[in-house]
This record gives sequence, C-alpha cells and structure tokens, in this order.
Amino acid sequence: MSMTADSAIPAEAVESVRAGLAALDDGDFQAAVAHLTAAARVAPAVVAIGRRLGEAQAAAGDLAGARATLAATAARAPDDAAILVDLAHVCQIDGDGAAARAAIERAADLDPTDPTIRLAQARLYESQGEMALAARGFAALARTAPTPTILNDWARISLALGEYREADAAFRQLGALDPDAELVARHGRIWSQIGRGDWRSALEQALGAARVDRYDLTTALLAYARDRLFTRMPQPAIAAREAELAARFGAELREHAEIAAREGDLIGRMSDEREGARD
Amino acid sequence: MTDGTATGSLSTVADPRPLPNAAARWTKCVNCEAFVYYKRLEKNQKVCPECSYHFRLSARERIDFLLDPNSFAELDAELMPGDPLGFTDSKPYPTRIAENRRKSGAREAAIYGTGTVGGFPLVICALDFTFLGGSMGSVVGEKVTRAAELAATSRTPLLVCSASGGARMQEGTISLMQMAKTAAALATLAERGVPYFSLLSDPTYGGVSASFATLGDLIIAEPKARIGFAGPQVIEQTIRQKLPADFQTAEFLMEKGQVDLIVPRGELPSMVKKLLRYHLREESSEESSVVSRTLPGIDQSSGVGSAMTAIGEVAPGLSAWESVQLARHPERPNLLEYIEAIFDDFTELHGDRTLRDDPAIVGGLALLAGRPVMVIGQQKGRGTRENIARNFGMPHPEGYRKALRLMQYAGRLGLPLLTLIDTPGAYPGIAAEERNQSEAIARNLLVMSRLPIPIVCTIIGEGGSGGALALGVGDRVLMLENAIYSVISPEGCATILFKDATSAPRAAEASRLTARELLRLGVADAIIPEPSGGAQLDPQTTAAALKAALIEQLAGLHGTSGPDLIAARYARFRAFGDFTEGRASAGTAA
Ligand SMILES: [Zn+2]
Repeated sequence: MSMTADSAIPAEAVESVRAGLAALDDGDFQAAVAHLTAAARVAPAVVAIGRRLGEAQAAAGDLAGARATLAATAARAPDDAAILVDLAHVCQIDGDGAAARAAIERAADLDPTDPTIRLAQARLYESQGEMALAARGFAALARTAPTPTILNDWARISLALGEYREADAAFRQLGALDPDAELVARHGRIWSQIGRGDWRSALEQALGAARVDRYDLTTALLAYARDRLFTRMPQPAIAAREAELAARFGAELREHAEIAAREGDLIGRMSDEREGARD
Repeated sequence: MTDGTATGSLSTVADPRPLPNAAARWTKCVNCEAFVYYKRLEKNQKVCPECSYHFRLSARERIDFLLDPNSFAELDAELMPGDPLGFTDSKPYPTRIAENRRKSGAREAAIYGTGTVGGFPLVICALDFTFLGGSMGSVVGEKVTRAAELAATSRTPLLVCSASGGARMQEGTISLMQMAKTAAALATLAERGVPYFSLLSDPTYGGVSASFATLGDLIIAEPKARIGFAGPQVIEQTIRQKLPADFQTAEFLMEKGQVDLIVPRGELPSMVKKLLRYHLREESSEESSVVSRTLPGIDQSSGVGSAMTAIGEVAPGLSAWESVQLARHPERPNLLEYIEAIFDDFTELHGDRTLRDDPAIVGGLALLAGRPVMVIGQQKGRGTRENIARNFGMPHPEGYRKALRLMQYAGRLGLPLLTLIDTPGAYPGIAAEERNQSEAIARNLLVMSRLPIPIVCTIIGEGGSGGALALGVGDRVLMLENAIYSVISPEGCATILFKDATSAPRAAEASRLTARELLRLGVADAIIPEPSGGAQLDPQTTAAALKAALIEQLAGLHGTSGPDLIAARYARFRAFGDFTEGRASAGTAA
C-alpha cells in the first residue's frame, strides 16, 4: 500500500526531499521541516515524506505539527507500525493519553513480535499511570528479550506495585545479566525481602554483600533488617527509616537505569537478533 | 516491514540512515520522565530539553560534543590494567574488566589524545563513568599523567573532563598512588606555564576530586553536577543530620568558592574556545607595539604618553574634599562598567577555592585590544541593593584570596595583570578578622612583588588604605584624575587627629590624598584626565582615556623580562620612605 504511494514521488518534490533529509541529518530541524513541508505540499499522499516530516517536527519540538502530520500519514498507511509508535509518543507528550494508547496498541497489534514496540508500549503505560499493564508488559519482555534496562523497569514497577516476589525475580535476573548491576541487584533483592517482611532473608543477603558500595546502602539495609528482626520498632520510626532507605535505593536504581539505558546497542542487538531469527 | 519499504523507496532520492527501533527513538528523561525524540536529544547534546537535566556522557560522547569534528586523535588506546592485588570480590578483577569492556564497548574508564576546539589545539582526557563508575586505577591515572606530560612537552593547554566515583578499589593502594602521580604531573605542567582546565561533570568524587579534578588553573562544572570528596550518604551517616538539597551540587560549590564557572553543556565548546584564545602563545614580541599602533591617538614618543598627564600639566582645579566627593560619587563608573567599556570577551572567574566567592572582588580573563590579560578589582554596587550585595566594595579575606589566586594564575601563565582599585577599605568585621584579613592583604603584597609579569594598577575611585594596596603593588600605578588614595578616610582621620568628624575637609587636605599630590609624592606614576566635573558626567570618554593609558603602559612594559620587572618593582617600592640617617649617639657624646 505504502509502496504504491511512495513510487509516486513527483519529480518536483525530489529536490525538497533531498534537502530536507540532509538538514535532518545535520540537525537543522527547522530547515528540515521547511523543505519537507514543501515536498509534502507537492506530494501530500506520499507516506515516506509524511513520515520524515513528522520526524523533523518531532525533532524540532513542534508537537502540534508532528501530531497532525503523523496522524494524517498514519491514516494513509494504517499498517505502518513505526508511524504509530511516533504518533503515540507525540500524543502522550501532547497530553492526550487516550490517543497515545490507541496508537501504541494498534502498533503492537500490527507487529506483535517486535519487542521494542512492546517496550515502548510498557513505558507509555507507565507514564499514564497504568502500572499493572506496564508491569505485565515488562514481565513478558523479561522472559522473551531481557536487557538491563527492561529488568530495571520491571523491578522498579513491581516495587511500586508492592509486588515483591516479581521485584525479587527481576533483581535476581538483573544481577545475573549485567556485570555492573551486581550491587544494585543485591540491594534490590534485600529491599524486596524487606518489603515482604522476610527480615531473615534480607539480613542474610545483606551479610553476604561484599562489594564497593558508593551509596553505602548495604550497611543501612542490614541495620534495618536486623532491627526489624530483633526489635519492636514503633510505626513512625518504621515509616521514617523506610522512606529514607527507599529514597537512597531509588537514587541507586535511577543511576543504573541511566547507565543501562545508554547501551542503546543492547536494544539494537535485541532487534538485530529478532531480524536474524526471522531470516 | 512497512517502515523499511518507506525508507527504501526514498533511497531513490537520498540515502537516509535507517530509523532506530521503536524504543530507542523515544528516550524517557530519568529526571522529569518526559519522552524526548532521539534526534532532539542528540542535537541538544544529551541535555533534556524539558528540564535541562544533563544526561551522563560516555568519554566518546564528551569528546564528540566538545571537539571540532574529526579533530580527535586518540593516544595509547590499548593500555590495559594489571591485577596488582589478585583481587576477587564476587568475581576476579580481570573478569570484571573483560565484562565491562564487552558491555560498554570502551576499553577503560578514560581516553586521551589531541584535538582542536574552534581550531585551537589542546590535549584532552575524558573519564567514562559508564566504565566501572569512572573509577581511577592504574590506566586512568596513567592516561591523565601522560596527557599532562604531553601537554607540558608540547606546551599545549590541557583539558581533563572528570566523571568518577573515585579511586578503583580493586587496585587497592596502587589506585591511591594514582592521585599523587597525577598531581605531580600537573605540578610540572604548572611550572612550564601551560594552562590546565578541569571540567567536572556528574558525579566527581573521592580520589579523583581529591587529585587532578580540583587542581585546574580554571575549574568548570556542568549545571547541577554533584561534586565532593565523601558522598552525601556517608556524610549523613556520620553527622546524623539531613543535608540541604543542593549540597555538593555545582551551584553549591560555586557559592562556596570552589569552581570558577558553571557552563551548560551546549555552551561548553564556545567557552573552551574562548579560554584557549586567552592562552594562545604569543607569536612574536612585536605584538604589543602592533596592537598599540592600531589604536589611534596613542603617541609612544613621549615618556608618559599622550593618554596621561604628567606632573605640572594637571589643572589645579578641585579641592581635596571635592575630589573625595567625586571619588565617592554614587554615579561614578564602577569596575564592571569599565571592564565592559574597555575589554573584549571578559570571562569572570570565581572563588577562593576555600570558603566563598566574594562579590566585592571581581576578576577574570579578558582581551585588551586583542591581547589577553587578567583584570582584577573591587566592585562597588550601583544603588543600595547592589551595594549591599557587593558589600560596598569592601572585600573580605576570601576576596583577597580570590584575587591572589587569579594573580598567581596570571603569573604562572604569563598574562599581564591589570588591577582597577575602588574601595573604601578592606571590610572591618568579626568574620573578616577570624579569617585573618591582615594576612590576606599582606600575602597579596608579598606575592605581587614577585610576579614575573607586567602589572599596571589603576585607582579608579577610592583607594582606601591596605584594602586598596592589596591590589596595588604594580610596575605602574595610575590614578584617574579625581581618584583618591589614603591610609585612612578623611572622616576617620578627622576623628582621630582633630577629634571631630566635621573636620573631614581639613583632614582631606592634610592627608594629601589627591591624584595631584600622589603624583608629586611618586606614589602615582601618572594621572588619567577625567572630563570636567568628573567621570560620572562622561563615562565613555573616561573609559576611552583609561583604555588608552592601559594599552600604552602595557606596551611600555612589554618585552621586559620577568626578573627585570621584579627588580624594577622592588626598586620602585624600596625607594619609598622619608627619613634622615641619624648620626648615632657617639656624636652627642662628643
Ligand atoms: Zn527532563
């Protein structure tokens, strides 16, 4: 379908498209928008032009423009998952959660085997406060296409939902997968056990930790698990200690998320492997 | 695969790079959780366009964002750490290194080499927080050291970009020794007069912050970067108190006088280019005369020069008390106004590195008619609010220590020093005494007497006693026509000597504090004329006269060697004193 539309790029649009793509590549997004808008005016039905114009507008931070362009292009190419993914994000940033959700769900239906779309979908759910849906998505990805980022996401959401068994599983898998995440994973497991009220396992985990600890959290978790196991703490003290520990562990988890997310090549590899599996 | 089809067909008109996958196209900011399109984030140098959060960069990204395209030539990329302790925690150290290499694609936590920024060459070393937390072991220490050594031998400015949790535990005391090794290499660099800029990004801690990262001639931090010796959690544990939210942020450190500049990532290349420009090595000793020849109205044939007035040429004009009034006039141009009018590309530097950035002292690098200089002076405010912020131009000891740091910087790097003096005096207060105001002033006198660079001091308003002299030991001392310079204010003098503050005009006359009198006494070498009625009536003309005078004086000093300058400066101040040699008691006995 898009094939027929594309093949019809009229000669008078070619120069604008070429200039637009060059500007997009150079990071001159305003110029890219101008050139591609000119091309789209000449050839409004060409999906590829609409797609690149939408990209340029998204890059330039022109939300309304990107949304209009991508929506129109998606209508012309209803089976193009990539356009729907971008449309979903633009709608989300624009504050239209319902449209975002509709677009990302359609994209996921179109290409159910693409884990990167599933990942984008789970993240959008999380942004919309749909934590249970997000957790389900991350859990599925952790089984089929685990990366440190995905495991971090899954663990974090499980903690937020109070699903400590899932969180524990996510942290265990993370520690095994990511050489840099050993400590954060161990802290996560202790924290999950504390969440479950399993003070004894928490204490044993903490005692077994023997690594550089920039956040100096191991000792704090150990002390807390010990106090809970051996003493009766008043409720306000519990709340205060847990809030403090949660903040410190949250910082460590965020730091791991940022570093892990940098390995875009992992996600890339993930889809390369998928491509490979298909061939 | 509709997406592939779309781009594929477009390849008939262009060859766009394929899109990243669905998840990689949209990055969720770890700070504000907004989704950002990847091209937008890349273009913004990984600074969130919504909340300005500076994402952490790998060493490669840092170099890509900062240096001119394709200018980077990496050196010693193949350095590999040993395993000096045979260290094993949950796995052997060599295994951990190997895993990190596989995962991050980097070989170690630092890279170094040569490159250019805005066409100016530099040696650069960047730490990589994504590789074992940027920790400093043998390889990081060796690369920083080699970068410093290369900078020293090639006399090329050095920039080290830090991001590190500290020393690498797995290499034990050997990693601790890297701190001493890198510091020693930087000492050599300083001795050679080669500038070292240190860029601190989030996070910079421990053995890295306590060695090369805080030793920069000039220290730049990225906004909100966390920088410190011990981590905040450790401190909270130790002192059992909650720390302020901004504790150890770049902004906090700026206030505490520990960094010179906070520069957003997008502005770093232009800032680094500007800094390199100040430190370009002079091509020839002819430069200064070329510079002054390009400026009209400067006649170098006469001894004092046309920009200034020699003794006898000053119109008798105003009384001492009238000069005092003009010197203190609320609309008299102040330091920053002169800097704005006289210099190009002024970059203010901040802090004494120890306590605070004193706003009563302003100093920084600038170009005077194209020539780099260090400018320092006391800053009065305009209006009450700003005057309170500037403490009415009365510096605390930390202000003088900031000035001292900048003077030593200029001395090390061979930049002429220009001071513009305008202060009622050093601040008299409890805190100032506690921090040893006397020593701060005295130290400046001592250090200024030995700086191997041309120093021109100009009193532009009030020259209040020791607080003025702390910036006043120069090869040339100039005064604006209505500036004053005295050991005590006329009011203070009147109270002490005439027991009556209303006798201030009389005291002013007696103190011989006007430019005319001080020229006669040899304290001032020349007077820069002001428009009739005072500088405040025509700031532009006054600034132009001051500029011409400064250019001319520097031209006169240019080419004189450091030792000769020091010797002449010694002789200049050695000569002050009015006394007779008493004929000893033998005479009276006889
Ligand atoms: Zn943000």
